[in-house]
Amino acid sequence: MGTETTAVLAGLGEQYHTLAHNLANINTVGYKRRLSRYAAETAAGAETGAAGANAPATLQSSTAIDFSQGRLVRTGRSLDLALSGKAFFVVETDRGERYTRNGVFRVGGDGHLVDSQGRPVAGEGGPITVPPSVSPMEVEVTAEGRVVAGGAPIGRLRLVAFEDPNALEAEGFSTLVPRDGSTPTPAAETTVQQGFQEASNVDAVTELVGLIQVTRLYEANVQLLSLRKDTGKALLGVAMA
Amino acid sequence: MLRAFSTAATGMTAQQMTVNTIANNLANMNTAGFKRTMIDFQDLVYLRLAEPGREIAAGIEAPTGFELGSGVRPAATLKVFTQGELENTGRELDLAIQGDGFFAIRLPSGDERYTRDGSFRVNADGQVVTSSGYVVEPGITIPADARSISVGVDGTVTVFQGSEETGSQVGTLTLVRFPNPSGLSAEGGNLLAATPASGDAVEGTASEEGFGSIQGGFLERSNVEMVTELVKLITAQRAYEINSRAIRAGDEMLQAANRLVS
Repeated sequence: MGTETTAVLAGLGEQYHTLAHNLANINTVGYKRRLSRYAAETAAGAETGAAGANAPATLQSSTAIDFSQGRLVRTGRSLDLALSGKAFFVVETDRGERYTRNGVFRVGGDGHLVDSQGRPVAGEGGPITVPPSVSPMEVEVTAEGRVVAGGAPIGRLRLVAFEDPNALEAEGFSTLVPRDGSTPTPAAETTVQQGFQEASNVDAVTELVGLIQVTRLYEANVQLLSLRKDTGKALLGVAMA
Repeated sequence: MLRAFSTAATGMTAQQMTVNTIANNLANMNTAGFKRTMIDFQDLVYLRLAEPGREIAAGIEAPTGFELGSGVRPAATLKVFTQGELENTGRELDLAIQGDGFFAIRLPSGDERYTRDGSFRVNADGQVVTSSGYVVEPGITIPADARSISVGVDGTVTVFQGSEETGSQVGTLTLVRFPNPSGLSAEGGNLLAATPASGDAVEGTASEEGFGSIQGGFLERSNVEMVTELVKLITAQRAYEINSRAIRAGDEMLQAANRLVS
């Protein structure tokens, strides 16, 4: 009897966690909010299972990434790059290529263009090297991602897109990785904006409304559980009398 | 559930750090040659609780997996080296760098430090020093009978002595640059130190090969913009509140669950 409600409570707890994670990343550059798909699946289960018999058994949460565009915030820093469109930057990690929307880059000690954590940013022809004679402040990046240092082209940012962005999985540290090993295609219809950061696409109001809903639903379900407890007690009282 | 509290707490810590950084930027709004700092945040690792493609009902596979994030962490602080405004002070030894580069300073310990604050003066020995008294590289001595000093855009220091009409050169101030100035570590007192991340200092002549020019009689103002910083401060404060609300909401849920036992 109570297992159904317990499953709902656990699911709500997980939803709460996702909301808290989104809110924690409300000011994280390039962050894409997580959607909790828990409610949608419950509804589907209730429809298909006529008797509702298998609904609780299939109560499983899932999360997806909401890839909608974040707004672009002007910073004026030459190596803050923001993407508009469905593309990703490529960074090289020791575990292979990773994809990110966080374009807060800098020039590493060895002259390579790296992200804020020091991971090299991939160009069409390998890493992009800024010559020592050019200040990072004088690096220009065109809308198509061509990098120009002191008037001379030094490479082009590798911008990629995925046919099915749902195949991407978050790894943390701003990076995504396709879990099925699918390879990206060169991005089309994407522009790079120099001197801008793409803000997190978390909207405080949406998440707070979600938070209120989850809290109230949780309380309602706890109420239900305690009603059942009382009914059980009353029944037991009758039986023992 | 309890894990989610620490997730929300990382959000509060992150906003706290943003506020600290903004406070430091604002405090240095009138510090010559100061460069504002910003923090880059990244999301933390995810717990993978379910793989995508699992069967959720007979013959139906879930298109997405189930990942729980664990919050946010600061990835790096970056000094933003955009040019500050040049302010005319009229003092001969107020020097501003227009463009890339730093003045090199020799500490009494022999170590080298770097600064964009060019409010220099002459000490008792006639050496050109910073306002804290450290010698400016490569070490220039101004003769005692100098009437006036002029510093050219390329760093040449010319003095006019006694009643002489033409000046005589007493040396040239050099500049240094770094492959990654954002990697310099701020030491306080307007001084920066080289780190492995910044790369090695490259010495050169002002106005040449990518080096900025030296403007005598000017000071470079801090590149902190008050309005921008204040807007960021408000945003951080609200984000802090929202994250604390998340914790409170979680607390309410736990309280409700607690009532079950009572």
